[in-house]
Amino acid sequence: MTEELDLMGQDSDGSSEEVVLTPAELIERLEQAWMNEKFAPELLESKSEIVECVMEQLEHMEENLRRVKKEDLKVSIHRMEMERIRYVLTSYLRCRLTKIEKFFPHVLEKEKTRPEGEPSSLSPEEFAFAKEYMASTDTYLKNVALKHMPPNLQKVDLLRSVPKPDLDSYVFLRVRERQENILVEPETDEQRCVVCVCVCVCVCVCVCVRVIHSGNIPPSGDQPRSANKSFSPFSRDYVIDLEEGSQHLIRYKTIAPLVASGAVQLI
Amino acid sequence: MSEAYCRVESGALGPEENFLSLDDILMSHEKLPVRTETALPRLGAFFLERSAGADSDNAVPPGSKIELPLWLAKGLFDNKRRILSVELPKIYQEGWRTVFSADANVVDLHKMGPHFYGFGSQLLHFDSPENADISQSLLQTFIGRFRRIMDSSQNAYNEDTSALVARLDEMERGLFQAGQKGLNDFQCWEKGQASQITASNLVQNYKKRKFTDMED
Repeated sequence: MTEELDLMGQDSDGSSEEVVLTPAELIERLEQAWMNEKFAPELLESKSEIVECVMEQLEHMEENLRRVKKEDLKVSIHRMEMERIRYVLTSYLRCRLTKIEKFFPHVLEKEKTRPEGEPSSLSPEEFAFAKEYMASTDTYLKNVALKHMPPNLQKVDLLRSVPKPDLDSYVFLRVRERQENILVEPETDEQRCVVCVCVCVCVCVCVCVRVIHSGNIPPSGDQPRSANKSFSPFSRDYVIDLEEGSQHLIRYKTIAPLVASGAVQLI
Repeated sequence: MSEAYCRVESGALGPEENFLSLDDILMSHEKLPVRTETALPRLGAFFLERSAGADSDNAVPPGSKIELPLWLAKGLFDNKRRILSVELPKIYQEGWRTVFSADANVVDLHKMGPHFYGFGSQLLHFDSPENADISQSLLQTFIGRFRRIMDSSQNAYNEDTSALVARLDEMERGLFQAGQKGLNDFQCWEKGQASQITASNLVQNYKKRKFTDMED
């Protein structure tokens, strides 16, 4: 099962280049995408090429297993591995669907106003799902409540009423590539101060809850875990450097582009 | 993530409450003492003892003190302060703030308005000169009480927790329940029940026909 795969990547002028990935690397990329998606507060870019390759790979493995004669131990171990990969894949897709359902007007709005050349955060199927979901919610609200209201109150602006994804929530991350000069913005608003500390301590509760809950596959300890943890609730405007292998608790908004480019990994 | 129904969470601690959140609707229903600056026509029907009488259009005269729910007070509040001026409820004022700073753990926050933190955070909208003190006090109260909530929620397994949550306000109760859920899920996982398929809580109340009925 060590055949190499061709991963079709695309760059901006439309010509396709082939990046060859071993299955192990593909699974690692899937796991990274899965963890990023789980811990990011907003819907991330859709990695449909990874999804397709993993599904191809699973079919491949299924075929191979059918051809091999029944040596119980090897077959059952391979089947277990396939089940685990399938679980990660479905969990990734389910996480995306939950976020689409939660933030559907904002996701659709973002898709509508997306500039050309920027990768989409929705695969075509997900886009169709989001549109149908919006239409169903509209119809439902209209039939259940809105049509019985007085004529000037019969509209609900879903874009304003459905809460936006909270980009200011704090996330844990591990740095994979060294970054310099990341600007950390201050919390100056008084109301935000209340939110911020409540969020921080809730994050601490959630860490305990989450580690148990999420069936997290422990990260492979290739990079040295330096004791370099920084915690910045009420900071003034300052600039930090992110060392490779260090772990931080930082606002999502500050590092959102780094997550998209793969320079940091959310944990 | 494996729940069938995700409720819209309360945005009260943030800049603005969420329109679709049930918790926020309940929270903004609490009353706020308010002083009117101009006459409010026709509201005298609701505030009979303050009304100026039927001949002046049943209005509430300016300068009267009435109690309005938060959503109404927020809607009517204007920076130029033409319509009403808001007074802070007792528990957000100086006296109670010193009580909270002395020891936050002994206070019964459920009695002080079950939505202490949410209501207090939304009160900051009314531009009172004490805003900085209020937000500091809310923060310090929470910090003082948090540790006990976390401890009790993580260590009370399969017990009656009513004594523990009696003095918590709604937001703290939500935190307590999150902690309990984490604890229960962990115990479930340890016992191996995590891989058993159970009926979803959305359909448990549907009365399904028994198999024997279908045979007839």
